[in-house]
Amino acid sequence: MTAAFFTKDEIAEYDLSERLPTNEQVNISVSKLLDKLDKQIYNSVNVDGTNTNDVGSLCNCGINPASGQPLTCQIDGS
Amino acid sequence: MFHNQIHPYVYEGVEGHLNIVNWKFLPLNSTKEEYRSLGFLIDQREKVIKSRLEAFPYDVPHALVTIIPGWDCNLRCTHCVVIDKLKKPGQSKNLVRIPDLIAFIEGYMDLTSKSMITLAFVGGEPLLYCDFINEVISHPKQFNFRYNLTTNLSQPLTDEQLDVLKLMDTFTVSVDGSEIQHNKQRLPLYKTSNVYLDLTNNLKTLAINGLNEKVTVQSALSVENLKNRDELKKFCATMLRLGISEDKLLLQGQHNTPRKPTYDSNNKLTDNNSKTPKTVSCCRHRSNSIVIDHEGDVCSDYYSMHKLGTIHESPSKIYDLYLKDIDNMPVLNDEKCAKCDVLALCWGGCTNNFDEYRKPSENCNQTHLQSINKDRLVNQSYNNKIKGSTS
Repeated sequence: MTAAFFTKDEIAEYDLSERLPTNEQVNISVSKLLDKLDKQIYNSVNVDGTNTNDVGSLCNCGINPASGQPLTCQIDGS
Repeated sequence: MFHNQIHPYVYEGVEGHLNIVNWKFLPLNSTKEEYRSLGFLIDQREKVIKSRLEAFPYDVPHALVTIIPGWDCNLRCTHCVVIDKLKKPGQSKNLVRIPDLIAFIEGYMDLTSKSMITLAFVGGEPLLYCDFINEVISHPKQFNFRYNLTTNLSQPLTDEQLDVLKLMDTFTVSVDGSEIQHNKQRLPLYKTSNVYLDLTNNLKTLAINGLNEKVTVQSALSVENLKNRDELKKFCATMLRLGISEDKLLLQGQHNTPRKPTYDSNNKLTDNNSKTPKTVSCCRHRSNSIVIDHEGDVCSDYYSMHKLGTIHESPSKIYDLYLKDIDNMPVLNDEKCAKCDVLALCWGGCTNNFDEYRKPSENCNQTHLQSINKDRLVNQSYNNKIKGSTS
């Protein structure tokens, strides 16, 4: 394991405790993310037409006319 | 009855009819004239499709201009879609005069009537062009601009690069999974470091500087990696512990590329097995989004880099060329697609899926798209557009 993690000393030194999640929060978020993925079919998304944020595509930006919600542009994150 | 004159791209739900080309809605008991007024009839097909493609899309609040400062890159990723364009650091010079660039962008965007322009810097690795980016941002402008940058963060950040990131409203970082997965795909040009370690160290630096909330992590996971849940858990947990928020951690599959398409057991492009409705056309055919490269060439999109002209030409001329290019969309010239009831959930796919884009009906996703719950689509649209719900 070579990934750089924050040590307890670093968290204290840079006053990061408020901005970083607790272990419990991390576990909850990981579960949520994987649940979301399970609703997808590997590299596709929901089958009900409500979410066009295509996991298999990097260029599906714009507005979902059905929901009126903006899609995440996977090129620029906007 | 005239209902046999309604085009198949009009879907019927409990609440009424939804035209999925222009996303207009009518109650079930509407008159023929009302259907005609909103383009629901078969003989209006061509006109309605053209007007949809020629319009600046919907209520997108901003226009997007992607800037490629140059093709220098410190990585050679296995799934890179522009690998044939990449240069070693220092080899791809930016030849654009900033005043010319800004004048063109503002002139073009004036045509879109958008109040906000997003400038997205991509590459190559845009952080290898800090001077250029600083100059672009500091140049006086008439429009409201917001800035985004996509980076691999795979070499130790310099102070200059950190300062550039501080100028961004958001930035996107490419991380392809856990350390093993990431390093397998993200290959350094010079094997002098562990790119994943550099990346995670840089994410730490961003958190220390309070920039972690601006970060979206985008991943390009192979199907194998998507199946390996233990590695995925590690990946997610690491990103979260480095201050990336859950909603900005995007687990995405790898994009098909022209040079590396992936096919399933039925010999279909894997993207075509997606049930994802693509309710907007490919970015090549989307006028509120253009790409400008390091030589001042203006292109329709990042993937096909279809050249429309240069920043030295008038924005209206470029826009006219964009409109003309709509006529060349293969999906509009494909007889089978013309009769398709899911045309407006597909639009012929992405130019990056070269086979699919050029021969849409031969690489067709129709069956999958037809299995979408249309009733729900209609009712959701009804709830949002007619009743004004935001849910």
